[in-house]
Amino acid sequence: MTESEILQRLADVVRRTFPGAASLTITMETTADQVQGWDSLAHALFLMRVERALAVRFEPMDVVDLANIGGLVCLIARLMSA
Amino acid sequence: MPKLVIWGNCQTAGVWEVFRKLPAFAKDWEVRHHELWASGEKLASDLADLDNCDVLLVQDLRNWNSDPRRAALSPATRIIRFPFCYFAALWPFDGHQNGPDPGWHYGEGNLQFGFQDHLLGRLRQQEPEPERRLVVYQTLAVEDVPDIARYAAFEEARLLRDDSRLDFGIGRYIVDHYCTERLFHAITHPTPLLLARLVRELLDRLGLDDAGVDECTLDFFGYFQVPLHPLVIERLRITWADTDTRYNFQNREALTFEAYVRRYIQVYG
Repeated sequence: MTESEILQRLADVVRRTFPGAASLTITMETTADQVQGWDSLAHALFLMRVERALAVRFEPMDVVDLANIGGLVCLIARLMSA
Repeated sequence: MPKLVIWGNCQTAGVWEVFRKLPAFAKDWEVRHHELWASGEKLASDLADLDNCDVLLVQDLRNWNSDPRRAALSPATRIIRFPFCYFAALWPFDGHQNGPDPGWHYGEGNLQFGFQDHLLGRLRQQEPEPERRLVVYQTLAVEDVPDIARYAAFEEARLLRDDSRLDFGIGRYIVDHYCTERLFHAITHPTPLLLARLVRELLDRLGLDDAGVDECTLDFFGYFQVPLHPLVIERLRITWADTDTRYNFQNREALTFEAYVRRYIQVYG
């Protein structure tokens, strides 16, 4: 899966998890601060949905404070190629 | 007299209540609480308060980044950020992290639920018959519910990362004790045990004596306790609760998990 495809799948999960993001354009630079409802309380639920949607398993410490969607895309790409 | 301001949500109101009573502050400090949602006259008063604030304790919430009080701070004010204590995996269906239950409203008396249950809200349409809905909720025989143990792993990582980022140790304490000690009454409401721990860590950062903390830490949040789901108890191997544990409901009743869920369904349909 390319980084672009991973980004597309992640954008779907973001929109499904956070209704406030329905019309938001999700890019590699998108941060949690820019998405209504995406706070530290909701972050773990989002990550578990990403795991299910992309069939990956994160090391929790690697993802608890990722700076932006791009960081998550790179991490997923690494996990998929490992 | 030096002034200390505590900024944050209802959890910090609990910290403030303890601080006000402590010998370390009683005579020698002016201690104020600034609630993050303040507006109008209260906000104006808060802004004026910050002119001569010596120490500001800021709860680690994103709201602080856009709070108008930031601009009113003196450069001389010492700012200490401290953790917002919660553990979402104990209440994996709470509205805080899942989104609200559209049928919820803040009722009165024994109809007053302080916390929303997103899953019960979602099941309202999916399982209109109340007894069937109760069974589905109890057994979690429904799609898209989080893996509770995995959820706890992410929450533990968050707490430890917050400790490292803010130079506190309370996250480690929660991770080490949440299975065997009752640290929360609800997702964001600490018990006296945890509140006292947080107060002690703050006093340590301030270089102040912790004498009197246990005596001054009352059960500020014990009036409304959200039951643990039996499958949370089982999957996280919680030892401080079981299916028969009773939880304080607005200081009026003590309800089991099942009685609480039945009441929620009865009140909100």
